[in-house]
Amino acid sequence: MKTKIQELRKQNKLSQEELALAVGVTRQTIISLERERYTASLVLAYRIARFFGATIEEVFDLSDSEEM
Amino acid sequence: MEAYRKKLITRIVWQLIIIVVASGFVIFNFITVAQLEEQEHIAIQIKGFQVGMFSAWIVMFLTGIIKKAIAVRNEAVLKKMYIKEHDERTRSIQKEVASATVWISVLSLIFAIVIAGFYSSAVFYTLVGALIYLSTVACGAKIYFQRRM
Repeated sequence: MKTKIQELRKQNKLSQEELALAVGVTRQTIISLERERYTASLVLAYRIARFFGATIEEVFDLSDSEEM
Repeated sequence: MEAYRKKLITRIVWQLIIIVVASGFVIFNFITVAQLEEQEHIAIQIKGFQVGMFSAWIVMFLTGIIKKAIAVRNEAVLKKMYIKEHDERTRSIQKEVASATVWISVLSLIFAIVIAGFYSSAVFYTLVGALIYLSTVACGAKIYFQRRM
């Protein structure tokens, strides 16, 4: 799943560690999210979006996901 | 965070109990001369394995207790420990690992049982017992979590 986490993090001049601490995950999770290797749960997606003051749809892009 | 702090304190207490029991077993092993096998070197090997295993547990739990004791007193360390333990990606990986481990273990045991059947009845029945135990635990866990979730 594509995300704008890295872009938003850099706009806010935050390190991966700072973002991880703010949303309650490890730095490795933030790295995996930014590299699009891990799909966040709804709760984590909501926390990240709320942290950046954006909606989930503005941070995460589901358009490439498989159609059910 | 307060609930997690209390959880850590409970774990410290349990780990202390395990350390005492393990230390007792290590001491018991040193002072007894019980032999399970007629061949002394095999009995010594078994004893050595048991002492080594319990000694490793003692060291492991002592290290854990020190880390937890530091976390209980320091808010920043406590928060980092909480995040590390509850990180969703880590939990997801642990679940995948557990699932793969059960399948690989069951298949390996079945293969070993077939091979053992040609060489030793004791090994054969021991492996069958291990397979039954592993399968029972896996099924029991599946039923438990299906009902709970």
